[in-house]
Amino acid sequence: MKVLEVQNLGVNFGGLRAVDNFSLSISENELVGIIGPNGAGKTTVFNLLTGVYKASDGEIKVNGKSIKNKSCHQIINMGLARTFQNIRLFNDMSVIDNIKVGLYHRYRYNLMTGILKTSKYFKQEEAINEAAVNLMDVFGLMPYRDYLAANLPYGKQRELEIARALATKPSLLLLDEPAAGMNPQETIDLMNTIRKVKDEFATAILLIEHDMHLVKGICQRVVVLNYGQVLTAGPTDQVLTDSAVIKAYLGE
Amino acid sequence: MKKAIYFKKMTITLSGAFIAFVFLSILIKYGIINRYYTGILISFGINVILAVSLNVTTGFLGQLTLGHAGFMAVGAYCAAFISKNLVGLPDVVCFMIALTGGGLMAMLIGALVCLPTLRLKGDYLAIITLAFGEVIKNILLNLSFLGGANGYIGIPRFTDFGWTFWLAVITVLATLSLMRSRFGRVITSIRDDEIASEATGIAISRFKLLAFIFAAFFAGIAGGLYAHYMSIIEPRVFDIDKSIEILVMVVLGGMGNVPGCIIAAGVLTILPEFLRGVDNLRMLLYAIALIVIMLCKYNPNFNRLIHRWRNKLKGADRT
Repeated sequence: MKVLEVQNLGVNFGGLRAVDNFSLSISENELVGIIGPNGAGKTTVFNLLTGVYKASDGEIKVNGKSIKNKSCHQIINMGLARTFQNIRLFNDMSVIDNIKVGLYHRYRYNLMTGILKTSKYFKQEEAINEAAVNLMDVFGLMPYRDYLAANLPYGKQRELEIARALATKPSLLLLDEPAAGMNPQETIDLMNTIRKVKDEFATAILLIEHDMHLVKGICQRVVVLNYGQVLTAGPTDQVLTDSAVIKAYLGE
Repeated sequence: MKKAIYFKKMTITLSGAFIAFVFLSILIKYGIINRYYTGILISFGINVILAVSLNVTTGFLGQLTLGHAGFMAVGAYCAAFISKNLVGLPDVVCFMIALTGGGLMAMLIGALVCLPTLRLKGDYLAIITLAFGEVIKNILLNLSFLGGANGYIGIPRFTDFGWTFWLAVITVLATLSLMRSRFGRVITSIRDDEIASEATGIAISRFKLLAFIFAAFFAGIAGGLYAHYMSIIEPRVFDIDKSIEILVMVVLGGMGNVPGCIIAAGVLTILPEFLRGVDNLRMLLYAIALIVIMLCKYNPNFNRLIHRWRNKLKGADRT
């Protein structure tokens, strides 16, 4: 089954057609990249997928269900998760609590149980704790367990953001410029992390990226956006050598 | 937290509270703490309830609200109305019903204020809540069956030290308990980053509502205690000054810091009383004291000093 199906997506901001006739479908456990020059509408696509902006036309289906008229958090609960271009963590909370917020919907107890602390609370909290620790182990965040998120080194903040997104058990993970601001070594670590995420969590991943090494290294397919329209799409090697793509990036 | 550790901590806390309660009760009974000081203790308790509950919306949820006295007023009038009209029941039952009724009414009003303002934040929400406090005050001024501007009189004096003490303890424990549950984590996450919180699948408006009605409920209880302590209430008492006073306690105690709030409530209750001796300089000295406390609180040298003392105390414990 397709985890994401987008058909003829378009959005107008006043007179500006920010995204036009954008179509994309992603199968389970696929790794797809979106590239394009600045202002091409890549992040706008993400915001349309997560319901931050409402599409003017076209249709988006997540796991076979349309996201029309759904609010942002409802769409997330349908199986999407995202990270942000400028990292957004819960800065004044500990690393483990950041992840626990992501686990909110997976381990439930009601409000009264929470306040009166019945035995169900302890059972569920233990499960939450275990799940959070497992996630932190995957990303090597255990040494930072009780650090405030704001005090983590930059690369670890990225990983924490991805871990928090994965805590919701998404079938599709959207990564918005995960390698932004990273040095080459950090980028290589990140590539390994993304591969690991794809294998261990069996999620599909859609990522926006400017770092061509990363795109070349891990993406199976690439979509190129320019002025809100799809320029080309296809297997990575083929797209990156396409003359139209090179023209859009470097000019003639 | 493991269950056993939690229960151990809880037992220690509760027995500590119980010992403090017995100790203070004995002192009050034998007149060592006279009526004047008992009164201060009761206002301290009421202020603790107010400050800790406001801390849920302002400290943990991160939404600046300036209308907390409004919820207190709703609770006070509603509780007073119930206890005045509910005759023939034992005092304890009547007071319980009155307090709960006051709390629930404040909760309802809290939800009514919160629902249309869910999209607002920061300055805008502050202004709306400020206006709300004034609206409540003016409605009460014009309701003749609640005494209007003359005040609502003849409320039975049910509030004593015991009621205030235990309700303050319950408020503090319930707040801490809420904040340490999955709901508390979500509320704190909204303070830190609303967008990220929503992108993690959290229905933020639901949790804003939860925090608001939780805070309003306890503010209503505090109002009920206040009404049954004073036995006469006027709308004028619940004005913006009162809201600011509570807010100052929260800011002084630290946003999202419950023990800090308790201490701040204590300091800000006792300070004006101690300054009664210098009658006309009282408010001036109060203001200066506030400024000094704030400066000290955020002074790195002062904080280092505190840390050194704390470490010394800990070191002394170990040996």
